[in-house]
Amino acid sequence: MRRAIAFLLAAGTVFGQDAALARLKQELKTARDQEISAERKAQAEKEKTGVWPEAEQGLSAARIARVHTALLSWIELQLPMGRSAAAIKSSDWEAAIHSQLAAAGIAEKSRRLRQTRRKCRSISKIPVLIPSASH
Amino acid sequence: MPLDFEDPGFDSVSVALSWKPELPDVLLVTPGVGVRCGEDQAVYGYQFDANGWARVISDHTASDFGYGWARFELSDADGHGRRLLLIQRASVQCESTWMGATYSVFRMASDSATPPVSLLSGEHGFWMGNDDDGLVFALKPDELIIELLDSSVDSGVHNRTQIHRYNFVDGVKRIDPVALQPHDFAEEWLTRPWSEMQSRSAPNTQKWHAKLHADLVLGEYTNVVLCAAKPDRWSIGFDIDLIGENRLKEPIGVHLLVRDLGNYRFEMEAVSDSEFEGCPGEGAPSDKHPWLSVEQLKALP
Repeated sequence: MRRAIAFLLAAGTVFGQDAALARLKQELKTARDQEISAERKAQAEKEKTGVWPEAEQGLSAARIARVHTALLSWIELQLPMGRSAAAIKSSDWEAAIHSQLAAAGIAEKSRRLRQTRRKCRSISKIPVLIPSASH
Repeated sequence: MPLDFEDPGFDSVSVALSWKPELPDVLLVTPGVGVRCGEDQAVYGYQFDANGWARVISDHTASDFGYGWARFELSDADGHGRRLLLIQRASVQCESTWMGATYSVFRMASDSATPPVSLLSGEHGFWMGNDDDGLVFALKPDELIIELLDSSVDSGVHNRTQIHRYNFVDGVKRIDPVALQPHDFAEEWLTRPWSEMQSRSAPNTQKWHAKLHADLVLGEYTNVVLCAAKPDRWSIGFDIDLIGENRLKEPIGVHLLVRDLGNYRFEMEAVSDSEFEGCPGEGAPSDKHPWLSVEQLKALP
């Protein structure tokens, strides 16, 4: 009987995790589709009027927030109970999380971590002395 | 055009963990959402005990472009064993070196039963500089000091040094220095609220502050001179043509009399629409950018 209950609980947890991951994937897809559509609309508007439309302001933020909410739900379903913070950090939990994301086809790609940073004009930055009571 | 700029993002996520031995029961989780040109990150703190975990920190700034590059810093312990935790992020940018930064400060108790206390959070624009050194944070057990390069009231001045020093001993207070040179103090006075500037201003300047202040003030310097007949006083002139969203039909010409009290402390002594007596001559704002190292910031008296 106990085994049956444990099995049902475990199965329920896995089902909950799978459902949360599926929701996360769906939120990503929805956000991406909306972003592409909004950009096309804005581009067309800009070509017509010469001005980038302001109506889109805040919409990307809302899309980002929705994906974060789904991601947080999925993460918290996987956070172990009964283990210390240090034990989780030193375990393979982080790698397992990444593996699941990779298997789902939504793991971070390393190219995103390379941020383009353009250098521009130089400035004259000068060190100054620490003020003291006798200054 | 770089590939990343053409990619609208929203096709990937990431999760990273951080743990610090000084906070043994706390796990910091940084989830990221892929956006155009980078990744938008949130930071969550979880406190673990025998009963499981509780989310005690939720830190995310809403924006259309995203904030990433999350970094954590922990101060030394204060007399009660408490530490400050600083969470900082920089804006996702495709090409510009004009950036945004977010920062949050939490007081972390020495015991795991007491949840973190949020003390301060904010956003600030900055110019990243030639060597990615346009923004530094110095964290002490009771203070956060932010030094950065940001735009000037005068668009002809590429950037100026700003310093924001917050003390957390009794609430949250911005303390001196608020600028490292007189004309930077004048810009700070124009763009910061009276509640911050009152203690650094003669009472009769309040009506001028009410007239001239906004978060965004634009204009140009007309004169910056050390007053020959008034020791330690600087006369700083501006033609101001934008105050907040109000674009003026005619620029307002003003002169600010700034007293240098030493130790990077300044006072707005007077404001006038005409030049001050005893301050003859012509000058421009210095193109030097005073800059304190993190060690110097931490050593400020």
